[in-house]
Amino acid sequence: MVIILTFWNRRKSIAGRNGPTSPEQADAGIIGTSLGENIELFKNIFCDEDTFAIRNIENQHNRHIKCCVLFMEEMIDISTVNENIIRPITQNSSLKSLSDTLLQMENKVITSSQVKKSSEVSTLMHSILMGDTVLLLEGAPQALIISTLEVKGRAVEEPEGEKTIRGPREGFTEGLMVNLSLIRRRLETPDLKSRLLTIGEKTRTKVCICYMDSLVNKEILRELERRIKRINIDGVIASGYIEEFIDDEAYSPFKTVGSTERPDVVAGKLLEGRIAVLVDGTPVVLTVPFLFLEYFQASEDYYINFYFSSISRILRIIGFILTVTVPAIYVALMTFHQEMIPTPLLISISAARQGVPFPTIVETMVLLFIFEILRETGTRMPTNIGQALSIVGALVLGQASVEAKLVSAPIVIVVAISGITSLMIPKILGAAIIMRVMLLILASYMGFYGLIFGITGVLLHLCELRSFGVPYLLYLTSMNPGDLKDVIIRAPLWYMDSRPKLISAGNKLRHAMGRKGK
Amino acid sequence: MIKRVLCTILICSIPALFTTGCWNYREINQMSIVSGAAVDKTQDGKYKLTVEIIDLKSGGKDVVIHSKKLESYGDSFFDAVRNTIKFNSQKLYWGHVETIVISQKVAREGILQILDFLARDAEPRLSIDILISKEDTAAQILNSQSITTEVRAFEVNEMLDVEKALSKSVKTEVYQFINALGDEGVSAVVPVIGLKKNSGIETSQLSGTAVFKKDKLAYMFNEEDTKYYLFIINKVYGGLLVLQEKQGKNISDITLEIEKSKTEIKPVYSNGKLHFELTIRTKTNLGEVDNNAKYKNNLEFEKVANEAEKMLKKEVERVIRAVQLEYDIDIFGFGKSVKEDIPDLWKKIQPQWADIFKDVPVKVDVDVKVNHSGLLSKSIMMGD
Repeated sequence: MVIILTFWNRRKSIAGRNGPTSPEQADAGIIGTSLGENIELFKNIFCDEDTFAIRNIENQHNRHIKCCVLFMEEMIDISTVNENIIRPITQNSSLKSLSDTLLQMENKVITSSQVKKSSEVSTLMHSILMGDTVLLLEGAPQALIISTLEVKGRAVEEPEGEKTIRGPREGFTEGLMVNLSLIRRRLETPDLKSRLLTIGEKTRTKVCICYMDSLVNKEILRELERRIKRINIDGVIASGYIEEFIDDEAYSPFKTVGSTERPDVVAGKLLEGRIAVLVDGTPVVLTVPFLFLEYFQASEDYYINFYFSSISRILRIIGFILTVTVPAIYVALMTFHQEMIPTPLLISISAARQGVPFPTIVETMVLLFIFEILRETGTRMPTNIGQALSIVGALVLGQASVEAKLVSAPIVIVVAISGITSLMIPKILGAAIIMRVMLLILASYMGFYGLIFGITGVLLHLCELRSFGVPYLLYLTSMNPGDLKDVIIRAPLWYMDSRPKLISAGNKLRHAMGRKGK
Repeated sequence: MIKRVLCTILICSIPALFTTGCWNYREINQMSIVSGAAVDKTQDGKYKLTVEIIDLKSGGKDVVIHSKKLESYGDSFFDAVRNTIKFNSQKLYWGHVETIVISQKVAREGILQILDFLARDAEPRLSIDILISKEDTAAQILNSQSITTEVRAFEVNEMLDVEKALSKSVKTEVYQFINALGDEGVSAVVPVIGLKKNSGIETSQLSGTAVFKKDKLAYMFNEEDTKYYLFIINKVYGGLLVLQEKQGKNISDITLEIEKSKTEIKPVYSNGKLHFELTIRTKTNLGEVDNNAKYKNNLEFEKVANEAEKMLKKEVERVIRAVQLEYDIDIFGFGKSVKEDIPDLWKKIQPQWADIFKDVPVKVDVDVKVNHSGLLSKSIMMGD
């Protein structure tokens, strides 16, 4: 922001005042006192822009007071402009002199909660683009910016991607302010700070950094700000843009920035001392730092009985291990370590493979590939043709290919286990698919040796990763029972009395004495 | 840098799809799974190997498991194994072999060669069961029909496993045999298997125990003696004790079911003389009674237990005497117990152990307990 402003200031001094004809040149000037010239100036900036509206008005009691309101038709609430700007200006009888008319207008005439003054053409231009109305006054060297924005967006709905049974049904929308209000409603404290930045030369997307001032680790906050300000891009369409720019390890398939569509999750993370990054136009909010174990945590975990949520969390972890290793283990067993298969199982698998033309590894690869095709098709296709996909997927590819002896039945089971479990944690899907294929190839070369080799490599990579200076595997590698309250099992909430170390500053207690109270 | 790594990984992974036949990569449907083997010797001293392979015919959804027998000859055991490739396109896979039956002729000449192959080769497990054929050849056992499964060798293996409820046969796996060979003061024993006609089908049954001196078969004894032998070596996990009780003039049969049995062999060396104290503690319950006596209180149980103790002591002593008198092979591990408990003495007597074993006195102390009388507290009454 600071950089951009200094950039403008430099440009302004070079360009001077006369004849800004393109938006780029308009950045460099300030408006004059002549109303006609000023209108001409904005007409030039917004030439060929048919929704740009210019409305000249005069006060009915004092004809010397000539004004003009400028706005973008699609951005404003027209009744606000009519009732709060045009009507008071035309009908007000108390406006007398010309000397301080602008101040009088701001203070006495215009009935709007947000009114600013500015003389910079660039500020006025961006205000118009953001849905504000600019009031130009004959003889005044400044213009008023009146907030008339009308947000036309989606209503607050339950997020499709992260459903819960007992949790709140609200999800973020595309509007930044709506999203911010959803968070602030959950954290009614002045401790919650939100800092607005603008990123993207063309999109000028509003980005908001949210944190709890007393809990946040200041070093992480500084680092996040540094990384966000470093971004120099023409457009930020979604929060994914920001995510890729502030990621710690650019080439790693594992994310080091969390994302969620749920305000309750963000509130929870803020209370742990994490920082949220809201991006205008995206219902997905980023949270940092992000640890590996957060893949396995769901908001539901904290709303239901802790025994049950611990079971589901263990299931998720097992599911991840299964989805990554099952095809590799199967191939290793079938082609290298037949002695490890129980005899009856070996006989039945051997029987199932009679007459199958392809080697096990090719079979596995092809079927995994087909499953990924089905998954991708299912994500992108219109919902009303979903039935065709399930028929083709389940019947043709599953049953018929086994009966036609193209693939053996066990491999369908293996791929199905691997595929279904991968959908359990959709956030880690990308990394899981890469790991799965890598381990599969290693296992087909070297059996279990290759599998262990690959898993060791992945573990080394995970140990090496950091998210904003916080070790990625934090708590997962800990032997201290206090650190393991929210890792594999979810301890009762009254037992989780301290905030995560390293992430929050000072590790303050969440509550005193558990259930006993004070 | 990253591009180079990615390219390397990609290039390395492409051959994985095309070189699937290399090194140890074997498809399971391209090998013959061996379930069991029988070893014989021909007149001219060559090994005759009969292997049973699992023959899978998957017709549609049903998997039909059959077994096939292959016969091959060779100068050594391994040679005979490899010679199967001459007529069988698929290599034999020995990873799931359960049983190996050896003929008496081979066993008398020594089975070290076979054990060496089984232990040295990567595929066969050390948990393969070794059996000695009672018949002329071992192939006869493998060729006999099985009752429960289609695969003969698997059935023999299962028979040996459920033997625990009968305690009339030992079970010896390859590693146990090898351990016994290496141990001092104990000899290896192996179960014997013979043919039996069973409702028109020629099938096989376990029948006694074969005793080895080093790796050579020395002699065999029957299954009744095997039971008492198992009592001595503390390997009784179940089975029955059938005894006769005199009640006045009547003699009634009482069958006790063994719940638990524990035997301790203790060498005692005093006054320059060595003797062994054998303590057998057996817990039983009444399994079957053919009189109408009441078995309700401890006194009556005690009476039965005393009879059982007498009988067991007599039989155990008989088996020990017989082994000592007829052969000089320590199959009870008496020597081993001396080595473990009185190592100094063992160093002195080890060279003459075979002679000492022949007439070393053994004191047998039997303690049988009858715990309960099953579901009946009174026997079934018979009116006049």
